[in-house]
Amino acid sequence: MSSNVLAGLVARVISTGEDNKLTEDEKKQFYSDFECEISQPVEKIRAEKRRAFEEMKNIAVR
Amino acid sequence: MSEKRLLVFRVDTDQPEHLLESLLQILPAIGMRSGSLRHTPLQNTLIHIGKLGVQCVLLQTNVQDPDFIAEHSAYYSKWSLKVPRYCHRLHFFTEPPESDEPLKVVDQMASVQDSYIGFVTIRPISVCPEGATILKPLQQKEAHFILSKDKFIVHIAGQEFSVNGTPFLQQDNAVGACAQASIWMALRTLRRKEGQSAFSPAQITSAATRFLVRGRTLPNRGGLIIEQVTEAIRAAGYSPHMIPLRRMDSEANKQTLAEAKKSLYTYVESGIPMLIMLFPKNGEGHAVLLIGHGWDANPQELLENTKIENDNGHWRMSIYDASSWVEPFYIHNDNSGPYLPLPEDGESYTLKDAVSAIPFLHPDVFIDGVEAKVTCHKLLNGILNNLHSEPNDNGVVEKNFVTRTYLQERSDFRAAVLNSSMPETIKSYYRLKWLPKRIWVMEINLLDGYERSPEGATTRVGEILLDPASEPEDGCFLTIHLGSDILFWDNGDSGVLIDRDAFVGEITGSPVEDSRPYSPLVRHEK
Repeated sequence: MSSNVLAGLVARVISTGEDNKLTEDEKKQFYSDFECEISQPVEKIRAEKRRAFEEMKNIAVR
Repeated sequence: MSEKRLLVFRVDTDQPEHLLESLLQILPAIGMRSGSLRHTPLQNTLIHIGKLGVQCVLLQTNVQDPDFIAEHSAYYSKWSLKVPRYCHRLHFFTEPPESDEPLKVVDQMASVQDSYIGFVTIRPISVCPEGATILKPLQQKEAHFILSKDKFIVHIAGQEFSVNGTPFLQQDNAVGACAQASIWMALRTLRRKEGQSAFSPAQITSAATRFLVRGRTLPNRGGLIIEQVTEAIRAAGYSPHMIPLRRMDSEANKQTLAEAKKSLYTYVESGIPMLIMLFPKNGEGHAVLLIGHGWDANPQELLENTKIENDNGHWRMSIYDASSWVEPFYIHNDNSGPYLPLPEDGESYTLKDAVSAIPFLHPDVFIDGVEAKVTCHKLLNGILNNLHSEPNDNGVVEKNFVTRTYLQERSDFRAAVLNSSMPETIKSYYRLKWLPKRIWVMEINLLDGYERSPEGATTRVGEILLDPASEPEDGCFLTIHLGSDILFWDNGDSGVLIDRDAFVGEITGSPVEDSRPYSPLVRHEK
């Protein structure tokens, strides 16, 4: 999970008190996992927007 | 001598109950009848001006108002009856005039700071007289934030005045209905800040009906359909995405109202005006412009964004939304007046009537407000949820926070950082870090004391910055700063800053010594 990658980074910084950088593998894992985790809720938001626009597009305000 | 272009009227403030009456008496002087239903916006505008403490009115005749001239050219010039092309303008001041001579009064008012309240343009159209109007918002005792506004310079007889407010206009439904009036208000408000077009109502109607026509465009009695509204906003240079607030076929309930407040507040707090589509139970659809919010220090219920419990079960936290304290919202309603409340519930238009909203979002902002909040909470939730902590002798520890998300210009963000009480290391970091022109900021504040946020008394303990020119799925945060109050189980006073390189995506964590809390951003009324 992407969260584990960033949580791991925070934990390392706290325990060492020094700067710490994600390795290339950790970085790839973070981006790939984050995409998996967030794509579903974001798609749900977008689907609701599409539905609402279709529902409302021909309704007048005056 | 030429005709009198300026006339001075003294307002008798000894009898405040007669203020509206005395202001309305000025109208016949410029040929306006009164009493028409469509004079409601003007009457409410005059009530607003009365509350601002007006003591002097300066009438300027034969004003070449660009919006009315455009309306005239598009419509009234085709009438057989000679409709004047020029308007009158009423300028309002808080100082009593020391003379009846207009130039002496103009010079007198120019020498008194903040005496200028603003102006109302009177169209030569008796049924819809109120043209371009810019007035100060009310200075109320209760916290009250009109955030979609700008400073406008006004010249009178060689003197310069300024007014900080949100432009207002009554619809002239010959050339445009409520949507055109509200779009006009938003475009005027944003013109200087965003550098985009500021169409006249006639041009807005023309842009809206360019590709999709549902009836006569002039006179435009039928209003606009939503698809035409979005086209007009796109033509003006903004990104017209529609935010659903509730379904058309169902009434608002507690949950839809809570979600609507959360969605709207993000844009209001960003100073982005929003077109709100209201559909009251037994009435026609109507559009108004959302421009600000009030503050309820004691809300009945807090709106939750997320709950986080760490994997060891040693602590848990609830994260509430800053919109919990927002009541009422403030709107400009072209058919009833400027700076009016839109409460959650009540007799007139309310938040329950709101079905959808369209923010005037810059086209370079690809992540919208709701997506920004989801992304930032996902990042925060993920980190905190997976941090290992040791058991606490006192059992499960609970700590609660409030998040507030807004879009901010890079320069405003840096200015706020510079003037804040942030730790110096964080200040230096933000001042030097490459940032895009606009950023989504999610502030993390302690729940304790958040009700005193308008006084700047709240404690901010971190923030997440997100790049709006990206997709939520890309994880394009810019910074995650977690102060020691968020990492409370660690018992130290160090925080952590996670930096993400915006160009190559490298992610680096750094310790922040002496990570004390600091004040949130507070936008004071000017």
